[in-house]
Amino acid sequence: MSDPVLVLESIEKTYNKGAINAVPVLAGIDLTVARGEVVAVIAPSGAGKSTLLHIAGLLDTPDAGRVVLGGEDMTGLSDRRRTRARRGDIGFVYQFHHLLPEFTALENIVLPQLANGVSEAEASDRARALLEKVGIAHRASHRPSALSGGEQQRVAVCRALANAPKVLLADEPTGNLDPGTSDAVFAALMDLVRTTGLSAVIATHNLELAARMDRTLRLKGGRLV
Amino acid sequence: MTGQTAPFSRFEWMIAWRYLRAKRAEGGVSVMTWISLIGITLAVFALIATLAVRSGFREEFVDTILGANAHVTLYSALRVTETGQTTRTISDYVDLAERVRAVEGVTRAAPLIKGQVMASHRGATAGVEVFGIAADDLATIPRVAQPLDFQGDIADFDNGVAIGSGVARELGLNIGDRIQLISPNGVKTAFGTSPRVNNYDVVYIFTAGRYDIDRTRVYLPFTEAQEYFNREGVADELEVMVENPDAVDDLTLPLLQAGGDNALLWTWRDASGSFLRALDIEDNVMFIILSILVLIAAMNIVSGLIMLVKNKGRDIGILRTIGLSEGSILRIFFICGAATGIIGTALGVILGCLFAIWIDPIFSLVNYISGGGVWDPSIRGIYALPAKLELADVLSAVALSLGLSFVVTIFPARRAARMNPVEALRYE
Repeated sequence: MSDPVLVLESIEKTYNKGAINAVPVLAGIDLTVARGEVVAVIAPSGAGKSTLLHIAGLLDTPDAGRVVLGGEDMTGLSDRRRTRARRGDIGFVYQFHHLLPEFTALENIVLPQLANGVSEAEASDRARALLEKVGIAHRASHRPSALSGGEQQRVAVCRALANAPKVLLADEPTGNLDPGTSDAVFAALMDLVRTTGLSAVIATHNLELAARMDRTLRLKGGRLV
Repeated sequence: MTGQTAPFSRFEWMIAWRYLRAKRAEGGVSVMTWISLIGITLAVFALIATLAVRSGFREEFVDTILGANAHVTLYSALRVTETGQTTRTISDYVDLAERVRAVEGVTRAAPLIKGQVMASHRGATAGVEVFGIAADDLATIPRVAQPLDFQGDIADFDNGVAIGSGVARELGLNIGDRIQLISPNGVKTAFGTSPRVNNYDVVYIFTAGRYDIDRTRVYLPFTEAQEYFNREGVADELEVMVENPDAVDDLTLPLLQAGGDNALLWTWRDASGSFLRALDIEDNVMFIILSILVLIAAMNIVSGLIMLVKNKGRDIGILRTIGLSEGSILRIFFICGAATGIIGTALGVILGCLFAIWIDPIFSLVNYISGGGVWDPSIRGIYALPAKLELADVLSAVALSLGLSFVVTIFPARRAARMNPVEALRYE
């Protein structure tokens, strides 16, 4: 196995910690994702997969444990540093597309690049190329409200990959789509991941989709098995 | 690739601009933005218009005081004459005037006889103040020699009297008419003092621009006045004009030295100081009240921005997820709020300046709509509502408005920046 891109070590997380209604969600998660590896995390709703992805994506902090991204320990880093890592090294896809409604499909993909200091022309070119790859280049100038569910999710995938991150984190990326569209979007996602050699952690409860990934883990009782 | 961007980068402006333009259905607050914008515009407009009118009023007021009255009156302390009588008159007025003129900063010193008499013409009577002055000296009083409006010829002054337009109106006098001046202190006879009644030709009617002056003032040739008021060979006081009336206090010492032992001074500040101080206090209070108006308008920006932040909670979560820093979020919402402040202020400045420039037609319109009588010169002293745009006033209004809008904007913008992205997205 080549160098791990993402390592989670003994991650613990409890909501309302110390209170009478404390909810333990993660109880010692260990996960190592190698370069180019695509890992499926299967869990029923409420098992804590979103929390796991948020911690892996540096949006949330664990109560205990370490997150190592690209060899760098992210535990205890400043918000500024974590934001920078999120901008350049991590791509996020949610179950709902979460595109910015005031911006066109193209602009939604351009924005993260501009925030990363890429010039507008360069960002536009890359955004267009990504849209081309997922087959919706002709919808570039449409706002999210004018796109179908499948198209919206494809744009969201392109946005996640806009800054060529080291790892893609997807939280049920096709969970909100009908089976036909779901397959097409998943295929587009996998194609992009494979061609770019990206690592990915994809949470899903679709076993069929999980079977198409390199490794499948189950989140049970706050642990990955 | 972990690039950095400078604060206020293009993408921050781009996002802020989209949010400002967003329709309400998209979670924008365009109606609220419009309300805040109009609020700031009106507040800044009111501030500038009021400051301009205050400056204009003050300037016109001071101008008419200085243009028609002595900047410094030099008079004599009460003294006992050789015959045992007490008097305040000045006997060496020619020499004294020469000495005072020699003081640096003095532009003119005119001997004056002053008295209050009753004026009458065809049955109409009015109390007037008579100034006995030499023709040459009269010609150097700016508001009399170059008045707003005049009839007759000031060059004929030696052959008659010059009167204010208010006196002329009150008594129904025109050029060529004869005005009757009745003084209770006339000829002294064995039976007491009998009133003196003299008639003079009206040769010049002026409008100095101050109601109280135009309504009461009559100028009589100096030698005629000496005779009329029993002041043969003496003057009552010296009317002194100086180069810089604002610095009149600097001349106190040299003027007293030139005036000699008995000299006393009464400057225009002594005469009008309390009024000017009252005007200052009123200006300051007005500024404070209008500042509160601007603050209230700025608060509208805050409520608009709080709504925007609330509506855009999900977007904030997304933007934080894709790697925008807290600073970027803060700046985006700061731009949204500050833009309203800047545009509103700019519009307010334009409206305020236009108001000050077009004050006359606007004032006429208000007068017309209200049926007249908005401005009573007998109360205000001057005839029209003047406005004067001062750069300092405009700048202080702009600084106040921008300062307040920027400061109040920071709080909701900071709230947006500190929003937890996970929380922001969880409830969507």
